[in-house]
Amino acid sequence: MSQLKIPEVSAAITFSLSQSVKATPCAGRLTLSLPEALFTIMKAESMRTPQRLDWVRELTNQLAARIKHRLLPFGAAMQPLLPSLVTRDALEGQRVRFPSMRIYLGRTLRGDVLVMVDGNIDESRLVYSGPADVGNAGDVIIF
Amino acid sequence: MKKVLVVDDSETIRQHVAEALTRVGFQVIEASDGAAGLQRTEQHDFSMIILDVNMPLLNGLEMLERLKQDPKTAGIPVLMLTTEAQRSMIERARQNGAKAWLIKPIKVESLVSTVNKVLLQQGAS
Repeated sequence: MSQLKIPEVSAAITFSLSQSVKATPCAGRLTLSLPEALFTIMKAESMRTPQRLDWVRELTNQLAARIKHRLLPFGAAMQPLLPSLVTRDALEGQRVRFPSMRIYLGRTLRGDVLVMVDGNIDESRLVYSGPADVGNAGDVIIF
Repeated sequence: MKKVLVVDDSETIRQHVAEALTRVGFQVIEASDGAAGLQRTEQHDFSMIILDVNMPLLNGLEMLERLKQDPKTAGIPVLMLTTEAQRSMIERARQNGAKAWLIKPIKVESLVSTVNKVLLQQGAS
C-alpha cells in the first residue's frame, strides 16, 4: 500500500460515529481522491467554469451521506461535518500517522479513485438490527 | 419572471440548479449559506426557495424555521434539496412548512418538475 499513488484532487470529511447508545462516539475521517484526468469528462453546460474542487467536495459529502445511511441498520450513528479540500502532502502524512487507515481503490479509464477512512470503527459491533427509516438518493417527497 | 432563491454551500449544486431553472424561465438568485440566504430574502421577492440542509453559519432547517416565523417570508414555498434522508429529519421539515424534500443526487428533470408542481399547488391554494 505504501507504493499507492494518491490522485491529485482530494476532499475530506470528518465525522463522529456512535456504535451504541452507551459507547463514547469515535472520531474519524473519510477522504475521496480523484485523478485530474477524470474532470475532463465533466459536462460543462454553461459558460461558467466547472468548479472541480467544489465538485470533489460535494461528491465527498454525498459519499459520506450514503455511508451514514448504510450504517443506520447496523445501529451505528455517523455524524459527518462539512467537507473540505485536502492536499496530497497532507494525505501522505496522514497515511504515515494512521497505518491502520482503510484504503479502497477504484479503477477508472482515467486513473484510480481512492477512498480512505480512518477512525476507531469496531466492525465486530456492527450487528444488523433491521431496516432504517431512510429515503434513497434521487427520491422526491412532496408534502 | 419568477425569482427562485437557491441556498447551498456547493457552487456546483447552485450552478446545476441555476442552469436548470433559468432554462425554463426562472430568474435564480444564489446564496452559499443560510445567513446569506436570509439576507437575500430582504433584498428580493421570491416565488420559491430551494434549501440545502448541511451548510455553514445557519443550516437549512434553521433557515426554514426563521423563514416561517417571519410574516414577510412565511408564505414562500420551500423545497429542501439535500443528501440527508432520515425520515425524522424529513418530518421535521414537513412540520416546519417545507413543501418537498429531494434527496441528492437528483435528476434535473425531477427538480424542474417538482418546482412546477409545488408552484401550481401554491397557486391553487
